[in-house]
Amino acid sequence: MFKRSPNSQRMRTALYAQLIALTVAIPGVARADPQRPLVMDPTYVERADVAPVAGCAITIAGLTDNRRAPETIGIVAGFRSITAPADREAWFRSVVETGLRARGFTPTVALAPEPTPVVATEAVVTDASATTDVAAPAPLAGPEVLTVRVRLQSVWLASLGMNKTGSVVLHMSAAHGAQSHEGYYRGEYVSPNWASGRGEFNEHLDRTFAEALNAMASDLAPLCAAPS
Amino acid sequence: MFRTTLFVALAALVLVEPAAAQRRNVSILPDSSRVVEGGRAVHVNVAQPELAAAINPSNVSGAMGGGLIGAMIDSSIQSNRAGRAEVGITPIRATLFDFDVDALAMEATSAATSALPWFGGQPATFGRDPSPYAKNAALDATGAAQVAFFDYGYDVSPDFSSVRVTALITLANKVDASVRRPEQRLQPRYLAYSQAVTSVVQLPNASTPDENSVRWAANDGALIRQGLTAAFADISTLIPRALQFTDAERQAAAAAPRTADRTFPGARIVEQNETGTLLFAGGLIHVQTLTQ
Repeated sequence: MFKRSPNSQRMRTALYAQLIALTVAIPGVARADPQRPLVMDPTYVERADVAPVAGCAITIAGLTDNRRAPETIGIVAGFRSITAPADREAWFRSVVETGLRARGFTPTVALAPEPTPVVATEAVVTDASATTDVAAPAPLAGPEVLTVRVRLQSVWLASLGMNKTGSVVLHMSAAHGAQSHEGYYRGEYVSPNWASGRGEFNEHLDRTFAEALNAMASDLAPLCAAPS
Repeated sequence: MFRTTLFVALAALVLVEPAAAQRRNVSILPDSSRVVEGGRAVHVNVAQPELAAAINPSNVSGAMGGGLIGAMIDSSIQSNRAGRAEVGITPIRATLFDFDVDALAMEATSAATSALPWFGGQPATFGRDPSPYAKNAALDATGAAQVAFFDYGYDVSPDFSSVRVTALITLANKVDASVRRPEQRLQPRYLAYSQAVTSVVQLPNASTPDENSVRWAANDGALIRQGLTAAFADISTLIPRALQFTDAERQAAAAAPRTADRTFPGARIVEQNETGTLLFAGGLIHVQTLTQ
């Protein structure tokens, strides 16, 4: 027989401890209750320093979210879902309003129905002797203040390996006098997943939105100039 | 002596517990379990709003025998890979803003369940939450005796050479006399059935990841739309086949020759014809190349 050293005794004790822990843990994991969803905070918070643009007063005329099954906005490793706050309208409003304010704009929310597109009617000349000079249609007059409509196209948080990933797409249409702009703005963010906690996913969500808002603000700033 | 006995008993418990959880083969739906009185509730989950990018996981930690430093290196590598994958996939995603992949999943499920009159599939509901919590809630809420969950995923391979659609089919009983708590209904041993099917659609003459990405996205995403449509159509035929897979077929598939394709290590070749190759790796995998 080999003589037992104090070290081997310690190793054996450690092995027993690990086996006991595993014996307790394996059935525990298998029988654990399904985990409730991680519910995100009701409002958006600016998590990092933002470089403001030369903004202006802005009217937020539209905030829409037509996503399918909009309550679920992510999943952690396939076993725990991440859900949007109960009042999704207020949440999305805070994203756009707070986000634009932090980036140098002075937003006012005044939701209005989407204007129906104006269909140009053809000028019909009935009198052959009449002048054929038909006046060119006047440019469509836009609003006096910079007006934007924002749609939440998609938002998703997930865990990928040892990281958290976030992806957000916003669609914005903006008009100011004769100027207008339309486009999609994507926010992507990856960070280490420490403990799959609510707080860290909440921060991750805000930082992902911030990426999209930064790009949106950059495109909005040139529209601040007075309508020509 | 006592210590040795304790050691053996604990070791046995550790080994027996996982084995007990997998003692029933739920990947085959026996003839006797096909028909459910009143039919089955059907729930479709697509736990992603956009096309995903798969990455090859880093395993530096494993190679180093574990430890925090290895884990931090893994995290950094995977973060980098995820970042690069996002760069490549963003132009493809941008072409799919008006492309309703959720509808493809619903159509594939409907086509698959309609192809099996005995399945008794009720009109499908849609969600994005495949968590056990949500599924338990669905089981509690249903009036049917069994719920069929179809959990879909779709992504592009790490080198952007193929698009992949997977469907995990799970049949769970609303009432199971053998469970002690309702949450256990979704544990593998209590499921009526669980199997995954996969459709892989390869880009013809694929080259570098950058070039592949450009080709998928060209012409307003013509190829990625075609690829996803083909993959979901494929899934609609794979699901009925998987649900009717017999034990004899499973044994024959498990004994078939292995594929030399390193993308599917250990997979067996079940069929090979002009439509592609059908592989078996515990579940059915159909691989085809996009026709242009």
